[in-house]
Amino acid sequence: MKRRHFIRGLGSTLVYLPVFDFMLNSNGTAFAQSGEALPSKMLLMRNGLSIGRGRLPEDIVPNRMGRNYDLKKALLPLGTFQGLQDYVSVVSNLMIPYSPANGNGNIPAAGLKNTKFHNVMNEIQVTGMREGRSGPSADQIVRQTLDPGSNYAHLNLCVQASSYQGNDDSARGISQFDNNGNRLSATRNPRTVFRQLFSGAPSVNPEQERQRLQALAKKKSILDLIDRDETRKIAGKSKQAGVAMDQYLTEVRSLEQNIDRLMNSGEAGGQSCTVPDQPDDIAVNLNTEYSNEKLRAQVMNQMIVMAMNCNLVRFGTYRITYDQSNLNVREWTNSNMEYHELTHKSPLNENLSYLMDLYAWHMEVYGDLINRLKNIEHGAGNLLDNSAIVMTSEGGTGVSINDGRTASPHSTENMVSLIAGKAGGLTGGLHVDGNKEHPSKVLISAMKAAGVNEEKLGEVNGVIQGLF
Amino acid sequence: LEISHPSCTIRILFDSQRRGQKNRFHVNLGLGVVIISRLFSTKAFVFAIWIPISIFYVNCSDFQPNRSSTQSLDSLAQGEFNPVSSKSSRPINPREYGATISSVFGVDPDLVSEILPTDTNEIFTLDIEEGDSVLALTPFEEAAIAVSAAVLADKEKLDTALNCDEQDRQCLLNYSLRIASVLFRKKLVAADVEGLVDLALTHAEEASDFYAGVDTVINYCLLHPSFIFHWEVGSSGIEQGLSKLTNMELISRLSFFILGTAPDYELIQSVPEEDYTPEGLEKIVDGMLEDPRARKMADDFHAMWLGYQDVGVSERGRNLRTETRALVESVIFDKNEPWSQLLLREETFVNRSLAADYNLQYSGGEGFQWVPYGNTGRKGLLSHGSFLSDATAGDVTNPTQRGYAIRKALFCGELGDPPPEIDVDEELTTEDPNDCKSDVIHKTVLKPNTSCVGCHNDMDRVGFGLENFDNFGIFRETETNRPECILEGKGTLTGIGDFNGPGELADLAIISGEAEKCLVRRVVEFGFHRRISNYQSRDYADLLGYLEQSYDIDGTFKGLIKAVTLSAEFRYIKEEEE
Repeated sequence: MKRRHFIRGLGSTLVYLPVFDFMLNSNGTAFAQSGEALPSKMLLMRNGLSIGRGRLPEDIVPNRMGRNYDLKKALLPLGTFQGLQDYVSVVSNLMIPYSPANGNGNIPAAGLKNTKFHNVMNEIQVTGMREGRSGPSADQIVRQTLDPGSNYAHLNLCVQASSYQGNDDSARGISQFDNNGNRLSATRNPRTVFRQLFSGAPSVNPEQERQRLQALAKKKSILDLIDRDETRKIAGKSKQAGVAMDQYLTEVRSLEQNIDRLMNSGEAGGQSCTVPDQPDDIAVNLNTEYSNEKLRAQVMNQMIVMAMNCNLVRFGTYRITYDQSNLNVREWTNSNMEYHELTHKSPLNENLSYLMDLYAWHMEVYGDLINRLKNIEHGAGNLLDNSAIVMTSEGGTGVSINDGRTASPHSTENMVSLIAGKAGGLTGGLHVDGNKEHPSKVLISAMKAAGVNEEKLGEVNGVIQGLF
Repeated sequence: LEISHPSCTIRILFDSQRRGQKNRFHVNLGLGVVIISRLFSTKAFVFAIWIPISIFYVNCSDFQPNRSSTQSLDSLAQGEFNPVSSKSSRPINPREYGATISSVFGVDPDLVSEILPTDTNEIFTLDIEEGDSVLALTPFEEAAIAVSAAVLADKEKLDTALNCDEQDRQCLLNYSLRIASVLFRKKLVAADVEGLVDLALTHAEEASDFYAGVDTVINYCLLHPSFIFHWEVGSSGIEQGLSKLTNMELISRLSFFILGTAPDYELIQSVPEEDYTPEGLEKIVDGMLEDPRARKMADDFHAMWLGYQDVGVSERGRNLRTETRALVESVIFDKNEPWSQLLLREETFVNRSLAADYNLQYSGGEGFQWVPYGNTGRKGLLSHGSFLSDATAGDVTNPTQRGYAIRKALFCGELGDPPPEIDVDEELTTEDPNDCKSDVIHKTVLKPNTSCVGCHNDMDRVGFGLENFDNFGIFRETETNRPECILEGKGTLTGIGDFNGPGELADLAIISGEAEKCLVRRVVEFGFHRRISNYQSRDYADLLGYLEQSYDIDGTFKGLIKAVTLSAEFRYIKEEEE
């Protein structure tokens, strides 16, 4: 049995049942008894801003194609982790078809034509559409396909503490959509994330395990009582009340299902896993438009990785910043602007430089998370070997979808996505030409890597071939 | 302008925006009224051109709305009102949640503010978007746990609330009955909570801890649909699609509207089987308006409406909120003055620091005191740093955004979307890098014969009038960090008049009647939880007209709240069509 891994600096309160080596086949790639492959992980991360302004993203896109690509300013943080670049592929030159409002004859006729650039860019990427949304996001398809019984929690997290615009559930902060295209709100509070992930998790300590099961049973009995309550009859009094009650009861049953999952868990688990201490409150500061997002990202990274190691979570979304982000950038730069303002306001060169500083911070968060996965032994390799972790951005840079103006951040040209891990045959460590394909193809690639056979997302078909 | 008389209050109308509303008054022979406008002291020349004064001959005894509040409750059969659409269910919002747990458990109302998402249905949010998110129960589960933990952490206070000789079944039953009644807004009897008490006792026994049972009760109540949702299905059978709120639903709506929280236990217990009489209902409303929580609600309402609710984190921000809160409370509650005084008050409540920012004379001490604005060009709330700071983020004022926010908020304006070919995020620039902000705007979006100029005239020219005041409300003569850019501070409200500074803007807002019309609309939106677009306002025309009449009687905020709550529309609802 290998040594246990602990989250540095956070200590531990519970210890789960580890996966013993004797459970695995001789190669350490699958469970010996069932022959099942070790469960893969997929996480879709998001940087809420376009990657350039006024010129090609020369501080991001490597010059060299293929392996050993050069790391530009914004990607440099990936190079600070030993051997990590071998796991990270950069897909550049992606594009969503569009048709600017003023009709540029050189632009593909069909495709995105929407002035609300910031409202639609995420949904068309995660649902694989040219315009609008009509179905579930990629993470939901993976969950429904590979985990139909909801045996695992499903992540839907956001580091940015607030929209800083008054509506935290605005389209620009949503990453997931259900089968009907409804928005699914993200969790932003680290303490809530902790409780969702770890409060009901199993323990090897008999007394703690008894208390855990008792607490779960208590919560379930409360929900059962609510579920049986006569209040549901109010649904029959109006159509609208009926819809609301149906939605509420669906949510109640979802909570009950989650409790069932937790009560029946206890066998799966990473090689070893420990629960971090509950994080301290991190205050939301609407006035300054900065709520220590740097710390929030660190805390969330630690929890996500340990939840994956403990096999509590396999799939989900993890947004770092809102699209059209109003996060104040003074913690990263000498500017007092909002992140989004960097792409539109002068001075151009200074703000472009700051924009790359913020992109680099996203790479720090991304790199930290995948490096933590890489450092956790899992079967014959590590957790990252069995993962597909994608990082997308709001837009690219080039012709504006609004007015056809060139060199605009409101562009779906020259988009870049990253995918880390080697699950499902992903090669890793490459710079791949996206050949003006839809960026959703990177998500389809991650879905395939996670184990989904159908290579389709919304209107988009196929994977980025060079990634496998 | 008003003239008070022991038997009535007479208001002068300026024949501009209110021209079409003359018929709101019963004009009779009788008392001739001569009115002197204080406005001659400010911008007489403007009004000579724009606002010819109409003098009405008013018989005080007939001076009333075309339907009175006492008639309105039972006026359905007489067809005197048009019921307005209403949602029969909506989730409790975080503000209501916080206030209710504070009322019921005595815990910090902000305890759950970072657990529950910012209210997506907030009707005053300027950038409100179409489409709600799916209700997520997980944050409510988290909030319930947090509240229960806070309650159980203070056993002394909890024991007082339990008020039991013995920690037994009866104790849990009484507690459950009391808190569930308030949280569910229902008059419950013991049988309604028997199942809950059984479960709570089981949990208490399993844990060998009586308080584990209390925890069950709290978690159950805070996750229950009767708490999480406002249900307003009413009693049907009046006519197709029309319902009358039950007494309990009415009381709940009243309480959340006026106090921002669930009705008190005693009020719930006093709800009668038969309909409230108008007098009985009025007495309840009067009682609520005297409740200290009504002050907070009025303060919250104005902060949300005018967009300064997020000011207050820094020391300066807290000072600014104190200043504005004091004005709201003074005008509405302490002096019960006409609401217009909120914009026209010639003094403000500041400490030494704010007085220095505003360049006001401050006479010693470290606390807050009322200080005259003097000849600083300031009046009322629009001169507060809280109001001036919100419209523009960052250090640099933006006349477009300021004008947009004022048009949208204070004047209930609806500005169309920019043309599709316009990238509104793109910074305005000219070929000359030395151009001042005003030059850039005039050469771009205010350039004659462009597609921009129509809307931007309505926004930027309003913002120009406040340019002498930075984001903290501090007076300045030039652009920040650009001494070569002199700020003239000349603004225009299209169709109303010119102004210079927040004081004159306030004059125009009141003289035109537009701010008060907007107030009526926003109060209705707040009370009915509906955003009323210009298009939809036709459906609300009867109600808005009636309320504007009622408001004209004394022009007070309290009077307006009473008129809303006593209107038939507040009680009779029409189910919203999908």
